[in-house]
Amino acid sequence: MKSKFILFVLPFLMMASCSVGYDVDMLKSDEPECIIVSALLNPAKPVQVELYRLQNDGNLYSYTELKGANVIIREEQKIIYDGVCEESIVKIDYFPQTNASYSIEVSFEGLKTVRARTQVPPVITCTSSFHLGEYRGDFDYIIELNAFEIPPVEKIGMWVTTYKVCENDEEVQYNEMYTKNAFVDKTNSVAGMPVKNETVGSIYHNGFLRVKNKNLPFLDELVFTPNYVGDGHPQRNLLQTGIKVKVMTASPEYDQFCKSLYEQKSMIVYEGDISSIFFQPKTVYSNIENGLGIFAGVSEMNYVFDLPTRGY
Amino acid sequence: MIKKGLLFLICLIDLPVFAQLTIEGDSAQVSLFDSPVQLSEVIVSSRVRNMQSRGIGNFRMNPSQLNISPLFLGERDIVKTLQFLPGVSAGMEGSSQLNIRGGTNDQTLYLLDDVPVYNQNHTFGFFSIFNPDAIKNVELYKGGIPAQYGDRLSGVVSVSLKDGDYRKHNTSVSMGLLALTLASDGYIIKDKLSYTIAGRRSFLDLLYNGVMSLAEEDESAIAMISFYDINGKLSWKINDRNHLSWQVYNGFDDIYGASKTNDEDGKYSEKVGNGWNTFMTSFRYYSQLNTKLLFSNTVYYTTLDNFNYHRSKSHVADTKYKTENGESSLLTEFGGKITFEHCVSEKNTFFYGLEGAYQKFTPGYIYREKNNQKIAYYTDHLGLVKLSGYANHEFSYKQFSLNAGIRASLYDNMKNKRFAVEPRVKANYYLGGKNKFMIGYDYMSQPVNTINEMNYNVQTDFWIPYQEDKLSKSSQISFGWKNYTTSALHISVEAYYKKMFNLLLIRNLENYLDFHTDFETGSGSSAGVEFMGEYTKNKFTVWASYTLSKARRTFGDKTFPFKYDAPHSISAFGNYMLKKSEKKESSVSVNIQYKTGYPYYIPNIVYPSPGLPTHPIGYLEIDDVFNVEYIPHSPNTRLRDYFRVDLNYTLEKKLKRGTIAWQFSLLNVTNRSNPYTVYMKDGRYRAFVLVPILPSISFKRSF
Repeated sequence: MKSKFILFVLPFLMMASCSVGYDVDMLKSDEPECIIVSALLNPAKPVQVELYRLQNDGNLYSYTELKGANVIIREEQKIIYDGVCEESIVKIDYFPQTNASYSIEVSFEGLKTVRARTQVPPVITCTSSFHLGEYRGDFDYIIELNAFEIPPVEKIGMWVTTYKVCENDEEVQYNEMYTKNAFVDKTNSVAGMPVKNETVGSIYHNGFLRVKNKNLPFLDELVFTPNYVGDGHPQRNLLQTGIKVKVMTASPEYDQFCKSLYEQKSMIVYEGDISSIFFQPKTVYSNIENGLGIFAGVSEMNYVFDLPTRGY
Repeated sequence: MIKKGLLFLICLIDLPVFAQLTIEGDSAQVSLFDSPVQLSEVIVSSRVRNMQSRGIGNFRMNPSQLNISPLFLGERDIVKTLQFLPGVSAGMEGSSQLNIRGGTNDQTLYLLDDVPVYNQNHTFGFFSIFNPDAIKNVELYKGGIPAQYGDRLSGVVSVSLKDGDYRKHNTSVSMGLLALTLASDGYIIKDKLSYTIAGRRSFLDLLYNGVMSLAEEDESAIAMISFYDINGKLSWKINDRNHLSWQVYNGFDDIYGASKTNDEDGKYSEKVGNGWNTFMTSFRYYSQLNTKLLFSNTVYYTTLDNFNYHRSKSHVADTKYKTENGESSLLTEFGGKITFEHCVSEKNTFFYGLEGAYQKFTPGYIYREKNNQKIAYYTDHLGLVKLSGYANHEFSYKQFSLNAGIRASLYDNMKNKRFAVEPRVKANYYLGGKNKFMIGYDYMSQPVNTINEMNYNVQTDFWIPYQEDKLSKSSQISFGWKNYTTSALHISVEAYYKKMFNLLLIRNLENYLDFHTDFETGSGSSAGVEFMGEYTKNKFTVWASYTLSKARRTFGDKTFPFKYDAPHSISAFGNYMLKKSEKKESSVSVNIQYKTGYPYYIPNIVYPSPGLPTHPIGYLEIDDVFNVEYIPHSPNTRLRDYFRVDLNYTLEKKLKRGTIAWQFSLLNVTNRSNPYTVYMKDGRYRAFVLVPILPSISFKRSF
């Protein structure tokens, strides 16, 4: 037998522990109706802000598109949008500027005016390379990023995602990234898998690699192997022509939002599994004063590698 | 001529026997301490209470109680047993926390032979680090806390390790579902020097590794739990007046994944894990300086290391390499204390002493190691110096007794110094020999916190000293009445009100540690009435309690229930001795617990967001990356009421040499689905149930 993987954690509790349906007896909720703002300001894309309204029908909450709100968006102190938005999406033919600060103010009759601020951070740059590594007869892409230049902006974080570039320029995100790097967050790491290769080991990170602000100055290199686990979708089987690595510089708001959203979403992966003992109700970060949602800046640098024509 | 009067003996197993001889005629009372009296053989007939209510807010537990209490995963556990007492909350099911009277677990001081222990959990908290085979007794204080104890807001658990037997050797082996325990004690020099050693080790990992090495698999991977603890004690009776002891404890927990490949190309192995390592060692010296003055001195070193690591080893052809990355949060403490017990007269005793400690915290240590070349990051640390002095006066007059104390402490976190003065008072009034009225007041300060004020789950705690200008403080007043209706039945009622100030609520741990932001300070309050009845007669032992309580927290402008607030809580324990003969003993016992469900946070608002970076299909294990579930900042529901019935059967047989004992337990016999967590999945609310009906077994052989 070539391989055998055994999960052998607390067999007694694993047999016994379970999930059951639960009827919630909700206490009276005093959350007021409010405006929800959803916007990422990325220099690669024109400004777009989505607006929603949170409604309270007794104890049931729901949201609807918010139309007719008065919206003011400023870049530094200069107004770049001021008007009533008849639709629920504000679209401006304007690209956010790196290093600029932005603020938004949304008001609507009967609801508290909401405000938020963010900055679009300068990009983190680095050198990049990739090669094929062989481990016990299997080949993996090994990507190396190094010589990082970190802009001196407070509390920014670095997020790295990787994509298959396929024929017809379609991109498919790798959903696993293996690395041994000590400075990469454990937030989304998954252990207990077989070794991918000796360079990156056996721990993969679900979807992204995050390096928090405090660790950035020490980051000398980042070596990883992206791995794609198919979900059976036929489009995923397109011929791969390259690999794209996206290095995102996250403003403090985007960094905290993504981290907390991931933590919330990943608390319960497998129902009834013993890992549920780690569950904790998790609040997702919001920087919207008097409301909900996120208004955050992010910038990105992309590195694309063409694959050898024979493909792997 | 001395006429024999009433000889009243109170005897507790493993505790000293105190005797008081009352002489008729002049009604003078002679203390044995003042003038020793040689008694002829005395046959002591005692009623053993394994769980004793000793005064306001104070319980003492004898580890014999564990032999008849239901097991959790085959382990006997003192903390699990203390969780049944009124005013003590376990937290979430399966935990080894003691949340006392509206306080959090980090507000409870855990002492092992007077030395602080900073993590009392093994294996997700399923059981505590205190090995029952090494324990003499356990004291719990919820109120009426003597001035010798400090640095925590809500309570004290003081675990005393037993001295080895000075006259014979004892050994025992016990095994539960998860661990094997070996314990031995005896003399090294008869009547002079004794030892106690007790070790416990999980065996599932050993079993698995053994099986896999026999199977000679090329490739394997495993997720596993491993733990051990070891207690050791050497006790030296230097002479009748001087006694020296050395204690050592080491506990280790590791939850890990390991994989290895071994074929003709070479060997490669990896291990990824996280856990904690607790170490404590101390020297204690007792000396009876004269007939009225007792002196004790302790120096100690205690550490807690929370860690995670990623190790790999490769051996291909002639090339070997080894790498390790890791993170650690380390607390080390070095301290000492000097205590005097000064018996001025039979009715006047003074206790006074000094203690000091230095704590070093390294909360975010990262290291990288390649072929034994190590690079460390964030080695800078936080520090705390503690200096305390205290005095206590025990005084009695007729039916009245008073214990008044004061503790003064200086705390220095290297940025600012804080001085705390803590008055402690408790008084008793005996009415008619069957009623005791009690009152107590405690003022406490706490210079260190863990990070879990709001967390329900079992994440490992790590400690940090006060970073703001303020110390956490509490002020508690408690009243009690105890009725000794008969020698078999005792009833007690205690009421308390406690205020807590400068509590720390960390909203975002990473930002708090890295930037010292995202936290709030607030206050708390708790009030309650605790009823308890204890009945012991013939073959029957029962204790039952009911607690009516209310605990609140205020942060910012919001006041909300404390996470473990349970307005109604009922606990009952009953034991019936089925058979007791020279050769065989058997008993059955039952634990019943009911409490109002805890306050909890449940998402009832879902709203759209930009989602995770950057394609939704990049997250195979997550269904919906765009919708945010809104969790409010204060609880918006209560979990379903908690109810559990546990049964236990113990059978002990005396053999030619030693005894053999079996314990069979069945937890949650009604198979009630007590929720451990409640979450939303696919738009539906689901509850995770940790302990449905669950059998356990344990075996112990003593020689």
